[in-house]
Amino acid sequence: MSDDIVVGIDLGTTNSCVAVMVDSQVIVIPDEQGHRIQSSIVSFIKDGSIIIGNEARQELVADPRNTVFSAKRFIGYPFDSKESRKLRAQLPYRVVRGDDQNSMIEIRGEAYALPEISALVLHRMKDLAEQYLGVEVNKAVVTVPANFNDSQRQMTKLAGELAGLEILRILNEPTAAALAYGYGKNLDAKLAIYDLGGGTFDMTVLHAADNVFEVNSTAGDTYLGGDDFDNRLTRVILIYLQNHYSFNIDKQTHLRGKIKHIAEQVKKGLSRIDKFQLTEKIRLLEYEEPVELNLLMSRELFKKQCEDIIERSFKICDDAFSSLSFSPKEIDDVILVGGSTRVPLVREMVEKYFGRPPRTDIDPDEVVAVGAAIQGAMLGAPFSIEQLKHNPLLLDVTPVSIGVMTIQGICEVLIKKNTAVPCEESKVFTTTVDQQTEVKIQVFQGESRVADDNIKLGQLELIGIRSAPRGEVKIEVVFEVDTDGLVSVRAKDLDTGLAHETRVKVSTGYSEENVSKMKDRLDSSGLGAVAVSPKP
Amino acid sequence: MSKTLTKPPLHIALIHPDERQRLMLNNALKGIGATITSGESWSSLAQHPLRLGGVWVLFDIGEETFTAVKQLRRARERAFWGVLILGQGEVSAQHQLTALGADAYLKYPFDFNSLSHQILSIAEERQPISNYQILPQQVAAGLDKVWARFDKLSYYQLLELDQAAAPHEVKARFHQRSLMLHPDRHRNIKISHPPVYNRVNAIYKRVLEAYQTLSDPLKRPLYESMLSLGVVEWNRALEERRKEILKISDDVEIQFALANVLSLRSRGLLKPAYELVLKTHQREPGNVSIKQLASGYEVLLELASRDPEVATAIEQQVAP
Ligand SMILES: Nc1ncnc2c1ncn2[C@@H]1O[C@H](COP(=O)(O)OP(=O)(O)OP(=O)(O)O)[C@@H](O)[C@H]1O
Ligand SMILES: [Mg+2]
Repeated sequence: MSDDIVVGIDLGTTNSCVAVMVDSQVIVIPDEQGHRIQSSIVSFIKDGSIIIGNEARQELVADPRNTVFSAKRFIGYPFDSKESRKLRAQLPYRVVRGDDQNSMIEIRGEAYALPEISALVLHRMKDLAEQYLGVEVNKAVVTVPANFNDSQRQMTKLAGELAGLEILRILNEPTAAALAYGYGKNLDAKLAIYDLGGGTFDMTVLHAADNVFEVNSTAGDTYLGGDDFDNRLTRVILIYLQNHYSFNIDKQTHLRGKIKHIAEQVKKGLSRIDKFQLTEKIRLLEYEEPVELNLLMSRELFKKQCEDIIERSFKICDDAFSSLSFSPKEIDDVILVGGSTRVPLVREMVEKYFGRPPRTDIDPDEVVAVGAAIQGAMLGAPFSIEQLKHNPLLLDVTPVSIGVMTIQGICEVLIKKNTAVPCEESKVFTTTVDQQTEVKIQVFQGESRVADDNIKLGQLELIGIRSAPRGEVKIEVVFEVDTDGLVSVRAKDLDTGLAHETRVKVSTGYSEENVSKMKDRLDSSGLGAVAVSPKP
Repeated sequence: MSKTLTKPPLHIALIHPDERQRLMLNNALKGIGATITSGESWSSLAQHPLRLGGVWVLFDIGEETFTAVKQLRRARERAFWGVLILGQGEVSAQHQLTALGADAYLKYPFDFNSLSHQILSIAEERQPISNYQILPQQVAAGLDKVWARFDKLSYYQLLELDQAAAPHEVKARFHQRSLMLHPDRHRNIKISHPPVYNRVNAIYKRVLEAYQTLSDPLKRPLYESMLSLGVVEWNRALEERRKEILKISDDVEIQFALANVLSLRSRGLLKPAYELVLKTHQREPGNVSIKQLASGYEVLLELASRDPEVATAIEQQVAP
């Protein structure tokens, strides 16, 4: 019985959620306190134990150096990338360079890979499900932002495996949301999913008909979200402080973090009420007593500060619609996903853009996990004609173009973004030098014409090519994207029709040795297989 | 082969000019549980109706073997026949035979284990899906029917649609097929029966491709024109035409119209094609390319009206 259970997990940057489908009903699984949402936070305690989820939140303030949050923001970004550099600068915990260019998080002298951190969060979700259901859970569908590239997906999958879960599908968050919304409704409708989370924005347009959810296009920005609101409000508060007190900002160790925390409270307050009276006491090095922070914040001020950020999201919406034959105004239902869509200004502007109010009858925090649970149940179902007709089907697309580098460093696109998956495209390569026995091909993912501006997926090496004058050997290389959005490559010698030996080295992957090290560490921490995170 | 699966029956046709060799192979292959028919030459067995899902084991004796492989590959059920060649290992023959469609080439001397292993894996690769009894019979039979003519089916035939099918019909048919064929529906056989899974997947990919072409208002008429012209490398030709059209105008309506002009023209419908060009020209009167196109058609029509023989020639002349 437990073999058939497939849970759906929304592995968020800030929050995670787990759900399961039982007898055609989706249950969002609560924790011991009844909370249905868990913070994606992992705190490493001095005694060697690990606290994960909501209980780890208090450690953010108590022990910021050993408490990891927003790990998802880093995943798949090499240590030296500008994204990783920018993020590192703002974090209280230490990020170091690992093998193969990966970013690692160093806790008390020990370096953890990002998939390990995600694995801990996933493990917590698996635990919650097992406690609630009373059976073992080994299979899951895990969601990722639609814009995640191949290596980010690979790493998320690895995280699942480390947590002892077989990942049946890496599912796009907006697609999951659409499925949750449309399941059992027998829709024939064009849907727009507006997903504004903590750090990422995704716009996905899809058509639901005949029980098929067909994604038409997707676009996104991995650096647009509620965090940006927080940063703007932080600036306002800091300016207020600087106007009222004289202090050196660079000398205050945790001030920025503390203010940001306050800013987020203000933001959330303004989602509830028009005006928010901020009264806080702040410690400044230059003052003996904590100073007063008395500030009346209003929605008006919020609008002035943040309107342009929200405006940016509609540029991305335009982008998603640019390849479609219909306009935003022709959408039948607009679905909001992500905590930041609770902001009234966001809702207002969304309404204006689409010319209709968004649906408010779904919980933006749970809808992704619910969709993942439904998809999990579908993938776990046995094959029968009846099921096939009844069960919904998701048809997704590749979010990012895939190409190879040609001679002048130009990226030649082989699979365009928004191509329905599974898909494959082939290209014939040949030798350029006499008696050449190896051909190396660089594979990239991204939209830039300059290969180096894109993310390098890896290097494909055709080896053991039969020795011949240049140009004589023709090798067909087939690039394939599967339903998880994962890329694979195979090659065939066109003369002999024989499969050709290839090697693909993914630059951002981990060696087998490192992976087994991660597994061992999780096992010995007691979290690899069975253990439960300590109760508070 | 450690899988616990319903093994479909296996048939082998064994061709070797030497009787002793034949007997020896025959005996050696008994262990794999197949029904074996053997003969001394291709012509002696060519008429033998090997049941679906068989493997032909041919000894390479040159010309006759080439003919045999060619004929096997041309036959209607070719998709379900495996072809294994035994030979002296001459490199060029090996290449030629695999290029003609032989599944594998085994070099003398070989050990019988590897021979039976090869036969079994080819059989698995080529078995009709119905023989496995893992999918509902009706689904399996449909898939086999498609697979038997996989490379020859037009997109319309593949989706079982009329050329006049409306866009919503194309979509509905695609959805219906997707519900059955999408790889998500066949997760359970992915590991237990990879050859079946791969075949279903290949068919689904083609279905998807068909849908993408037929639901695209620019590509569909272009595909139709390729179809009526019988262009073999239509994929490339279509892409070239598409690019030409995109160069003529940025207006999508005009682009669609021009694609339709080509479609009409390829079916010999000169007058309607001309009328559509005129209409398109009215939409963008300043467009020189469309104007040129229109005058080209005027000349053609003028010629056709003067001489019925020219008219027929124009109708049959394929290049638009
Ligand atoms: N009531 C609210 N008003 C305004 N913003 C809110 C509210 N509740 C939550 N948020 C914001 O929503 C964001 C978190 O959203 P969510 O939980 O959807 O993100 P996530 O799923 O963890 O991130 P992602 O989807 O980007 O990985 C945070 O920036 C948080 O401040
Ligand atoms: Mg989210």
